[in-house]
Amino acid sequence: MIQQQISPKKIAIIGTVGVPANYGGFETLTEHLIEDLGEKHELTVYCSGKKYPKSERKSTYKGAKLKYLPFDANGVQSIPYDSLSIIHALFFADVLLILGVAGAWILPLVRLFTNKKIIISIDGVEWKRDKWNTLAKWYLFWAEGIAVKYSHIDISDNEAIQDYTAARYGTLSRIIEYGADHTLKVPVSAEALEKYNFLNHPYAFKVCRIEPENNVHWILEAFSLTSKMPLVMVGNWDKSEYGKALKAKYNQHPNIYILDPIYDQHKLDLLRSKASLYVHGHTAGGTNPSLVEAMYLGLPILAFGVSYNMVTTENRAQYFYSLENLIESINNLNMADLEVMGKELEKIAKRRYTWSHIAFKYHLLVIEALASSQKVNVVPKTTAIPYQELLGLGHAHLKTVDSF
Amino acid sequence: MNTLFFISPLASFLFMLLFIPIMRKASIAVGLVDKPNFRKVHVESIPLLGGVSIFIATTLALSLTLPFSQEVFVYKNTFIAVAILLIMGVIDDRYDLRASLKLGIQIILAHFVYSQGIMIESLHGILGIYQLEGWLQYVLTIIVVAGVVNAFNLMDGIDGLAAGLAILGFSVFAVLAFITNQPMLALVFITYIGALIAFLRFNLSSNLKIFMGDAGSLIIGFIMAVSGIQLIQNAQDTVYIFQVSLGVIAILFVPVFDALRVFRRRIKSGKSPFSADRTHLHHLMLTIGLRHKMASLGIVFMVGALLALGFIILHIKGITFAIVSMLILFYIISSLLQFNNKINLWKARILEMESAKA
Repeated sequence: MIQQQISPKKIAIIGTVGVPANYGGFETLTEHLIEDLGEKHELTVYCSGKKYPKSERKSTYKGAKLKYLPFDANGVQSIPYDSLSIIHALFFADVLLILGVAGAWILPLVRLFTNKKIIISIDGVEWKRDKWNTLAKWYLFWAEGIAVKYSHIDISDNEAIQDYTAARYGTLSRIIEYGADHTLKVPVSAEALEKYNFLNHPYAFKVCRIEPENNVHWILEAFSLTSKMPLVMVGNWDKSEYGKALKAKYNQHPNIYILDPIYDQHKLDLLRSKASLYVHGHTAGGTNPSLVEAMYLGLPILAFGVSYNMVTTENRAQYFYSLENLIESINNLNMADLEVMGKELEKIAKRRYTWSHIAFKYHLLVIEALASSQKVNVVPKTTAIPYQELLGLGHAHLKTVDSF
Repeated sequence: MNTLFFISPLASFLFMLLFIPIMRKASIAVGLVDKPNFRKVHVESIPLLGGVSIFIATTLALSLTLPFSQEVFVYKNTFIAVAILLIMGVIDDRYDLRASLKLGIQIILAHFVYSQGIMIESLHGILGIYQLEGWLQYVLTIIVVAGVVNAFNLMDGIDGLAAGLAILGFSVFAVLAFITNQPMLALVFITYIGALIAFLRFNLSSNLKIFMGDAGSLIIGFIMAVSGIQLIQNAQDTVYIFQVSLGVIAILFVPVFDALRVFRRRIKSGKSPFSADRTHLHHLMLTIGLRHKMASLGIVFMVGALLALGFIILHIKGITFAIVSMLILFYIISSLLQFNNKINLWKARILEMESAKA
């Protein structure tokens, strides 16, 4: 019987840009954690002074204490940012919840000299992503190893990543995804209809960072070759050469609406609630928050057929594997099927992707971290028994297991 | 006398140009070709009589240029040992002999070398050890000769590597032979260099490619091991003893320690040290994305760097420190390459896992 009540603990949340949340998945997660977990425990969140100017800084937010460091939370500065946060937290926290592996190098020392509990999230498989240069990839590959070996519990956000860590380290990662119930189905107002005339007809929607990794070029190309329905895509086009080039190429196309980034949650939800299809081209990064949000809004989804997306949607969405595939899928869309799909995906999201559920999973992890000493090994104990012994017992077939 | 040092290598070079095209055709006719498999890096079948050609060309050149009475590194007798090793190598290339048989013959030949007076008598100050006990001299000689022969054999994995290392090795040995006043020994080394350069011309080409085979790498390893020991012995009471010792060790260093590194890794993962995988230095260099020629050049360059480092430290702090610093440099380079290899392996594996359709 899992114990579910414990005395309040001091938990430090390290590695995010900070709260109030304005940046990405980890930050939204933190904000929801301090709302839910904050009722049961004392939370402290480390924030980046670079993104919160002195005039705007608070000492507490929604019941959690805030500490500021003069570093960026992302990029190469994340190394001192995370490391110093960890050291500072050692003086008062019982449990350190670390998001990202930049400060992992210090964990062996923490395990050696203190008995603080460490829960670390290894994000997606960061070292593989094209956005990093070679040196960064090497560091992240190495740091991930240290993070998994020297933490009490490691978390990933997708089952496919759990498979990877099991294969590489022989231990069991926990899976905790993201919540999506901060999005709302916003009804369309008259002035919105005036401003965005695509809202009057079926349209496909996509919101993401404009990177080659997200197959933005494929999706734009596919929709330029079809007239089934227009595509509305929101993203940070002007942030890169890749984005600027695509914007210039497709901006005037009648079937495509290119929109600049929208930071207003309400406005974003308005535009996507009414979409007839959500296109998701991500090839990496585990569980993508934008995907679970689309599911929660009941949108039918056409996603790139990589293991992560299939796991997130429990194989209930439609998938494409190439540009030709994508074009074919768009042309063969059936509105009735799409409606059914949307409802199924919405059910999945309501079951798995709500913040109260996510925060509760974290709460259970905190309890487990405080109780545990060793990680669960995925390699079966029978692999250690010599072959002759197994043969004598009539169980030599167990030696043929080679999953791990 | 001086002109000999140009004529001899030129002779072996030209003889190679004469023999190789014929040897290629003979190889194919007899079935002495190297067929590709998962571990090897080439994709077509390549003729294997390069090693035999090197031996014949060099022997003929030397028999013309060496004064008949000269006993160069007990030349006549060791020559027979090399010939035996060559024949064993050719049979192995054709019929794949058992490893125990090959090792047995190598140990016999090593014993023979010892009985001719070529042996490791002293460590000359490495780790503070000097003269060795009689039985230790014997055991160490056998181990080193057999070890270097096999290490060299394992190094023959990509185009130009074994020959490149041999050319560098023989060049350094020639220099050492000159400074210890053994010009005839130097002549032997230089003549081999001539043949090896000719060999490279074919080995690195795309249409006239030939391999030296086990025959070639075994005899080159053997000659290098025996020459190295002989050089050190002859320099024993001279002022050059430390330079000679370090030079020989530096040249034989990389093949031997790469082999040890790979064995250790395999044993650590619970596999047999002889199991086939792609973790040798040259495989790791290919993982960086270098082509064969560049990878070989890179490894030869690394040996050069080790040599330079060793000599610098030798003059500052003595021979033990020199060897330790070479070990550290080698460890750093091979660790970095190994790490890069690991990342690439996982990258490929994850890609597989990601595209597995549900």
